Amino acid sequence: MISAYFEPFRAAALVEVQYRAAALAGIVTQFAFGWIRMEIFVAVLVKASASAAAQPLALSLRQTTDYIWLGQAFLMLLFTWRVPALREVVRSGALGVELLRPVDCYGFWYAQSLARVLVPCALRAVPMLAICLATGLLHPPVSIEAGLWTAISLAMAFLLSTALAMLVSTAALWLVAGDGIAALVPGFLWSLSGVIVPLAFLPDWLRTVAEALPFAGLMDTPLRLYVGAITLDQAAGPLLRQALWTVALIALGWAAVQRGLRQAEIAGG
Amino acid sequence: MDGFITVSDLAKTYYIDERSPGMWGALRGVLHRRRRAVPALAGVSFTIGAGAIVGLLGPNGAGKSTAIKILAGILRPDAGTVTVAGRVPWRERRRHVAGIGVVFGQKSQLWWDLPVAESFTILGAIYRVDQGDLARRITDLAALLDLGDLMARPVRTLSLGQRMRCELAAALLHAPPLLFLDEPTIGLDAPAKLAVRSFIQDLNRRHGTTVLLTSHDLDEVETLCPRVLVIAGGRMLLDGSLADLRRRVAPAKRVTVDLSESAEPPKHDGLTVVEATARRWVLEIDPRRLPTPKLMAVLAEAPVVDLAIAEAPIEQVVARLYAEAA
Repeated sequence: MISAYFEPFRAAALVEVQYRAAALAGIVTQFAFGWIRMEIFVAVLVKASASAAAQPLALSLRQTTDYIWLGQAFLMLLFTWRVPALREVVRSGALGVELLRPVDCYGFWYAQSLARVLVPCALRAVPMLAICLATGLLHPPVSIEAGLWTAISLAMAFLLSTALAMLVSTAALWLVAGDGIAALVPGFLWSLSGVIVPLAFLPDWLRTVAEALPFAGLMDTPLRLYVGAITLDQAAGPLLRQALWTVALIALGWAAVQRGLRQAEIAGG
Repeated sequence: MDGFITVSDLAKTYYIDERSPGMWGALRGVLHRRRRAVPALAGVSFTIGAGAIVGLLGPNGAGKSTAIKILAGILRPDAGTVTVAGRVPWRERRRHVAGIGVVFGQKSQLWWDLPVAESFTILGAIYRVDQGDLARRITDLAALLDLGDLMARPVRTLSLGQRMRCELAAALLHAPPLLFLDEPTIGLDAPAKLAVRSFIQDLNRRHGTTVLLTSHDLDEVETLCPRVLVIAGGRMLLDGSLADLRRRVAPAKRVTVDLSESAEPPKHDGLTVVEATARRWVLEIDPRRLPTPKLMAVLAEAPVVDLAIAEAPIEQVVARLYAEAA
């Protein structure tokens, strides 16, 4: 039963593992941008804390750099609108062949998309984490528990990221130019996930909005757990939000796929 | 007749958004969309018994693929009823597709970047085939379709003929009692075509697999399918054998007579002289008016050296049928 979905996952993962050169190039870029981000934040934060009216920082300098480097390592979590699964299927007219398989289409595509999110990300994250930890750019998690919760939150971020990608690419089942919607999503992703500015630094009202949206669960939640900005007794809320959004987006995506398939069955895929 | 597949009054119309060419057309299309109804099937009925090999013929755009897609459960008709093995295909898609195999000559169901064997493993899991059964079937199919050297190669490196053999195997891993083949030999060279053909025949004979085949290769249909359904313009034109079709549409036989000396061609009802040279006549015979024994009598007095009787080529017969339908 499970293997009907696990095997497609494994197959997609096997394909992704082949792109090692892309991963290497990605690591170089992610390091370069990480360095720039680090320099900017260090400059700003040092200046802010040196000024006369210094207020306590939302994240300390060390927390901020850890947040940045861990975020750089898992940057590919935000590139999931590139998951082509459904758009590829619809445009190439291969939908007919996909429907011939005795599986739930959403589950089948989700399994493959998850591999396409997970593997490229892991191929970059593992060496980057090793280098960052070895060079002291990144400190180990504040505690073993924090590390554990970070791992759980990261795992959830992968599920969430895939669910979001599926929902976006499902738009292709209605529109030939699903690209339009796909082009809108990155803006939200980048500004509201914490990857440009950690959400802790946003003005209160905007931070509240950002934390309520699903994008925070892609990056900000695991990163803040790691650096201890969310203490373990505060962790339940953010983790629950992450889980709820994951379930909600999966449900929404599943419904969208069912509707889209019904339409395709009528219009001819 | 055992109605393994029962289709009655099947109808399907597609709606296509039309747009005038050019920038102006594109702008106008924003304001006002023209939808054109394109009927693909307009009331088709037939029954196919278990274990049959049936050919589905028709000119391009006749509705063949639409019919196959509906039978395969991936397209919903507008009207009509269909049952395949007791199920309505599109209502129980997952259960239905678990019991059929499909090969679309123009599409692949294999994983492009992975070795063939890997695709088979994945398909085995998707169809929930028992590990032991899967291994046994892969061995059998690999032997029959000569896949030995191909199993470890990524699908994208295969030639069309090699890939098609793999596609056939892939469609049969779950041992479906019903196989749909949509132009399975399109683009294949002669040896590859023959290999696919004999494989299909063998499969039908040994496992009783019901096969519904579309093809533009009429030789193929003639050798494989004792029964053909001809669809054109969304309607059933003929349900019978190609021999029936030939009798109905183009009964004329062409007789070439070589002569030892120049002679005047005979005159008879049902005999038309196509060509007459010093040493050869080419005659067209309508066997209904001039049966072969009578023809022999007519030719008895002529200085005949050699004689060849040929039926109208099936391509011509079918072309004529399509033209009549148009």
